[in-house]
Amino acid sequence: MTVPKEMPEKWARARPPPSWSRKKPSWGTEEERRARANDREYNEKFQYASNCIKTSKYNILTFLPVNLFEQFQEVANTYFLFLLILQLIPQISSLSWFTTIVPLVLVLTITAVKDATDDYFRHKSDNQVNNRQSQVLINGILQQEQWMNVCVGDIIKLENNQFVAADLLLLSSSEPHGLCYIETAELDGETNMKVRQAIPVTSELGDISKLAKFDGEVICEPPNNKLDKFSGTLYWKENKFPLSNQNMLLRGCVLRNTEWCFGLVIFAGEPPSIQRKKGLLSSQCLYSTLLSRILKGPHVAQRLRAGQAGTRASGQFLKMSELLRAQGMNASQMYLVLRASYMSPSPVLLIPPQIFGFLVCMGVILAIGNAIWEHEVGTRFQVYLPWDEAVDSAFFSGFLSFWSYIIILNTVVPISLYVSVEVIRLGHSYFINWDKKMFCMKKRTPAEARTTTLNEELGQVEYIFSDKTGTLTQNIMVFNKCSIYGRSYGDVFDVLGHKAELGEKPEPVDFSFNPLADKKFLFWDPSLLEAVKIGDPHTHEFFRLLSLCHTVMSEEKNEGELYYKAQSPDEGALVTAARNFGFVFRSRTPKTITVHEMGTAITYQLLAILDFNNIRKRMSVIVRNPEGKIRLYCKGADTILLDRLHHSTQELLSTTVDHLNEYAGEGLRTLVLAYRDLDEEYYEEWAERRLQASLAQDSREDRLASIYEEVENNMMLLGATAIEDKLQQGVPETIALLTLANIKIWVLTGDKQETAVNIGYSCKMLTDDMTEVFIVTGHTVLEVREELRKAREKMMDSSRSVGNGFTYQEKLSSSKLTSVLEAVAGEYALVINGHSLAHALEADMELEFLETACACKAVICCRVTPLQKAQVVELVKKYKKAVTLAIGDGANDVSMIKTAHIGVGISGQEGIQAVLASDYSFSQFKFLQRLLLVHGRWSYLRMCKFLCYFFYKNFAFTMVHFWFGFFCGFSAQTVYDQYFITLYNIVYTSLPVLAMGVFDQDVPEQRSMEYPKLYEPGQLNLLFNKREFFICIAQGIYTSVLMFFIPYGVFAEATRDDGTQLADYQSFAVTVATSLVIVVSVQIGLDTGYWTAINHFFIWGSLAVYFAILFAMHSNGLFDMFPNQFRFVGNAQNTLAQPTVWLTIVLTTVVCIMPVVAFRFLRLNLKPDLSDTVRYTQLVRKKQKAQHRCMRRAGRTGSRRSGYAFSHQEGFGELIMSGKNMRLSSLALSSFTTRSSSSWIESLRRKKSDSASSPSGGADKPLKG
Amino acid sequence: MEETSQHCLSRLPDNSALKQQKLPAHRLCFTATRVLSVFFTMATFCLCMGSILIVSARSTQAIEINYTRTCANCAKLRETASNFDKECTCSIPFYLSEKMMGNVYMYYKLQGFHQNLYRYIRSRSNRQLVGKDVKAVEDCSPFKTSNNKTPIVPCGAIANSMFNDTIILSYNINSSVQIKVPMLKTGLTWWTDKYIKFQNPSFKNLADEFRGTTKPPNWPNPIYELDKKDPRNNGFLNEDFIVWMRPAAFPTFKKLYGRLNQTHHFIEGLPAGNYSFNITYNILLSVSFWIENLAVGF
Repeated sequence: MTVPKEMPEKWARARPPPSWSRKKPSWGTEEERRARANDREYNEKFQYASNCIKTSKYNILTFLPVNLFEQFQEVANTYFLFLLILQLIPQISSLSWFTTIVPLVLVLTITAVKDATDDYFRHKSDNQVNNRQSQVLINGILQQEQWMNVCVGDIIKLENNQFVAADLLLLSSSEPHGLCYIETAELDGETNMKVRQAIPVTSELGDISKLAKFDGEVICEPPNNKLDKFSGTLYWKENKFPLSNQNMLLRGCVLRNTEWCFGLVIFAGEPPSIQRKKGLLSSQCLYSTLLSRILKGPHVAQRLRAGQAGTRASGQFLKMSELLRAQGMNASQMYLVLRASYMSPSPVLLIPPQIFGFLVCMGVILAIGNAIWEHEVGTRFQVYLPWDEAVDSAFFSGFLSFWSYIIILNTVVPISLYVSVEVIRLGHSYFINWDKKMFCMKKRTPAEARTTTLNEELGQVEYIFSDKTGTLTQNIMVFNKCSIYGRSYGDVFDVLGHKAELGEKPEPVDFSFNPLADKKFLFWDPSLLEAVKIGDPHTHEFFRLLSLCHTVMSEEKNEGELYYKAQSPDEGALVTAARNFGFVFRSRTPKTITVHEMGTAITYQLLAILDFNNIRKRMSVIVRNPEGKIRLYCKGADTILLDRLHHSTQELLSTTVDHLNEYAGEGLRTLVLAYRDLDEEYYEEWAERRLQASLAQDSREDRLASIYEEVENNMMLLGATAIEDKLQQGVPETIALLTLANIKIWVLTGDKQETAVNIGYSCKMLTDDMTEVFIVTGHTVLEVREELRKAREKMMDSSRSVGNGFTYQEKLSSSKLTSVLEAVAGEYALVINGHSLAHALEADMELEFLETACACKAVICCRVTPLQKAQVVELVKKYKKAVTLAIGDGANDVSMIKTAHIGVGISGQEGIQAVLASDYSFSQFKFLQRLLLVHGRWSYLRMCKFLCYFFYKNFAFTMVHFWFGFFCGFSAQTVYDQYFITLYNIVYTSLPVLAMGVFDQDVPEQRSMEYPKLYEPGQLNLLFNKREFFICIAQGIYTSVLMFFIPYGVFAEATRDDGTQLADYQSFAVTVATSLVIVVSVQIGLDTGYWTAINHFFIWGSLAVYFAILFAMHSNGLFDMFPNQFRFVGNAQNTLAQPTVWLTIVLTTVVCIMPVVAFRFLRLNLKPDLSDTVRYTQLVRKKQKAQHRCMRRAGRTGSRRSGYAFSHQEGFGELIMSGKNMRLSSLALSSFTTRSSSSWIESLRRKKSDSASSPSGGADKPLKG
Repeated sequence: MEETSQHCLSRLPDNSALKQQKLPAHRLCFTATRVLSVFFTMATFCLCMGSILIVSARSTQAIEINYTRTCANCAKLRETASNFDKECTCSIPFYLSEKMMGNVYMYYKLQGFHQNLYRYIRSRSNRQLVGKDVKAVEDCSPFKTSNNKTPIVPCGAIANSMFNDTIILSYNINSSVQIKVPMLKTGLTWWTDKYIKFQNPSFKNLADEFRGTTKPPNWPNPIYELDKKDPRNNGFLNEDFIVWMRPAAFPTFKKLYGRLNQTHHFIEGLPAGNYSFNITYNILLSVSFWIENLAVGF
């Protein structure tokens, strides 16, 4: 605890400390928090943080220095600053300083303006938050205070729908028993209401006079970032009262359904985790990624995803930090995660750092040239041009010349590259945001690209890690089946009493007898309602349990109009089911639950709620019914609950387990229900011990858990419920398509194996024609190792027996062969359990596991924890140089989303944590195919084309200086006018390549969905790898050679038609510059595959602008004003009036471009890649539509397979052979199968073989067409 | 802005062609017909142009005479600084076997003279040369001022190294009669150079205007004595000076020295016969002479 040495004389409260830094030490050292109500002086001496928040980074004075300092932490900025400094040295300067400073200042200004705007909005939102009004009890009177002036120890009055100003201890409220309701959407994204309750002694403090006298002191843990845990003690009137999270209102919550409440401020301000994160955010700059790729080498490039999210809006920023709290991650952990993702290797878009080596090499060659020249030739020329005073030897002259050439040649990587890349990425992000086909009508949410730096990586994804619940499935829970006392209900029967076949659905059960029934609830088995109606006691008890044992809140706006607010959709579904079957949960108070049982209202006394958590996996309530009997009702996961049943229920147990297996086999989520009668004495004694435990300061949780454990034992089994987890729309199609695109999909789910495997089948990840599905369930290291080994052996055997016939896969793997297993023939799948996974992820086994898993087509990990999800992703990232994508919707996916290269959040119903942590968000899994195959592919393609062209044009531009060096005594004389050098990248050639980078398309979007193999070049990084890079450079150098030597050849001898000289330097400069602009414009014309009006405008516009500026720069007017700056006066009109010059330009252009055209034409015809073929077929298809259609039909006579959906369980053993049909799930599947006109899988498979053969067979295909 | 308004109305993205990436466009296709037709068009064009050029180049005659070796004794003389002021001339006879028709130009060609060195090119003051401020010498290093801090006019390395051999071409009608071939010293420069880039401070008395300045170290005479006969060709406006001040792109270059004045004997050009050059030698490096007529100008 920090006790300040100097006590402040006066209580100065108005001015909060200017920044966080002053308070930091107190956060770090605080061991315990003491806060006394209504005693500001006492609390003051601890120097707790004020309630003022500050998320902004700058103020008016600090903005410029701080922002510049941050910007110059960017390597690229520093690099260009270094160049600028070099240019300021007169001995070295070979270019005027403005060639670098103009773009640099431009970039710095844009970034600064962006930062300033961001910060302005942060200031605004800070002010808005800090100036929110709240009513504070000061000296016995309620006074309006701004939030920032609220102190620890104050008592605050909150009214309905107000935000909670600080972390409060709830003292009293308008509702009976000191209850109040809060919404925590701002904190964890959950929109359901939560209940908080004041401790009984304070709940009586209803009016102000009593509160003003309240002088209790709270001693509790120091501020932390855990949202769901709190322990403290209230000392008041010589008594101790335990405090838990249940009594706390956290800052950022909203008070709902409660007229007013009073709270005691315990923590003000925000926890330290936010502060730490802010530091990370600050380093975000306009062009962080690419430049780090370029400058630091390939493997450093990663993004600070959270950073970007944070800079976008302070609101989000706040949420982000709150989210960290929700995650229970502390700041240092968070930092490690971020850093790990920042440092981890990214196999994408490598711009070889060799380019800088190249630059230095050129510089060295020219420097040596200069030294030799000065020594051999220059000495004779010194009569006319003596050396500079500073230069005393040829060697030193060479040294200076090196730096001069570095300045000149640095245009191979200009600043505009970074800016352009950012602009293009931004454009692509907007395309994602604007995409109507990724807009979910139902939820009215568009797709959102939350990061701009990852678009091209979307085109290179090789591994997708998907959550199941809420991602593949809708997370809409439907009460589907139940097993009550050994009898299963819920199967659909037709009129004759047979289990109904597919498609024919009878009328749903009529719940009209029950006025309180939910109209939307549908159930198909009338026998259950009959059982309820005839008063079967087990059935009644079953539904009674469902109506009592839950934490749902009810809301009754009008009589009979019940709304349930449930924490999980499962629970809501169960309570709704009970409601429709006549056990209507009507209302609850902290001590009672009122249920309408078959029309009569019965109020149960609620003695205890033993709440659900992830370890217990069950929840119980202890209630006293009106007759006075005490009963414990429990529902929970089967694995947990079945162990805690009374031994007398053995027989019932086995039937129920059968039912459970059946339900699980159908992909249903199951819960087991049980009860236990408690006698009065036992309960009293237990309740006492529970109270003791809950008062304990240390390890309270553990002690409570063991006490709960004790009472939840020897229970009587009631039955089980089965809830259907509906698949999202379009999931199987998407997965199949992505699989065809050679993307491996791993499902990581917390669900149990059967459910997960079943969902795997129903969404086509697992298919019955897979060679084998390996299931790893070992409990020990040895078992797991053995199982993995066996799986590998099997795969090896089969691939050996298939032999080398599988050329395609071999070809695929040859490029990045890491093990023999990559080339495995046949399709395998791996299912691994959470406990086995824990062993498999150990350091000595992870490689084995990875090899096995990667050889499989599909991998399902079930019962995994959020941490394991992240570990699996990390493992793949670590050993496979592949781009990974994680998609999920819930808080449990956040770690995985953050770990993967690309994180995608489903903006579903469960909350927004995943979305906040993600790079991309949309509301349905099926949009993933469009995101990857269309947007990702295009982004990658465009970025690659952009980079290729960009390097080409800059090498063509720059290398001319190199050749000229041999003719100008290596004196670092530039070929072009310095204005041309300044403007070349910014004005003359920037827009056409931007237009191409933003708008280019190789094939229409439908085609990339039809031919998923088109996605492959991205995964193999075929479009921009070292080879392609060197080809671009070679082309650039080739162009530069012609660009220099053709005019050289012409100018050496030629004269103008009036006999005056042509070979002067300035005419040469204009000629080369003009031909360069024309050649690169023609080249971009060839590179642009998709000419829109914008491309036309930019390309023609650039040429026009070039000539306009050229003539303006060479005009008399400018020369008159600045004769020393504009030396080229009259040059343009004199040079460009010469036919010789134009013939030179034409010749240069033709010689530069024709080989490229020829090469492309030949490649297109001799070795087309898939996209060429697709493009060509499309062209042909347009011409011969009808004919083609006939051919297609004829081609489809292969193996037509029907009923695919039924057969998938065959390889799946006992579960299905138990004689029970799997009606409902197959029903869903068949409806899916019949929906597509012809056998859908078959057509996909056909495509797959088509596209697989097309790289080789594609060549002759277009010719035939 | 757009986003927020969208958000208010509906979050549905616009259905515009731009936003849905469906802008009307045409795709570039390298079809055989297109590529081949482009190829053949280009080939035809290049062939035609090439043959025209070759034909026209044939009709051009040029004679190049290197006088560095012939005037070696002069060169040697120049190498010693003390002989700086001594005049040295040499004469080179040559025979023109065919007559040169039309416009005849006389050039001097320097080999290995690096007018394109970075520091050389920059070493000039346009402000001075345009006549605005004759004392503006800031860009002219290393020839800004003389030893006693007097600004040099014209300053800079380019001006200082100006080619100042005097060449006179004579036509020997017979062994005894020698006629000086009339050469025009006008029209050797670009219009923009003569009328915009280079201006004398005033037309009145150049010597007055350049008072307080000194001549470049290598020059025998100050700027206002470049052409004493023709005041319009004097000072910064001297055409030889302007020609020299436009630096060449490559170390070997030729610059226009004079145009044939087509009068008397030379109305059709240079008749065949014996000629001789009389050279007042100044330059150190290898220099050759070059005369040619330009039949086809393009």
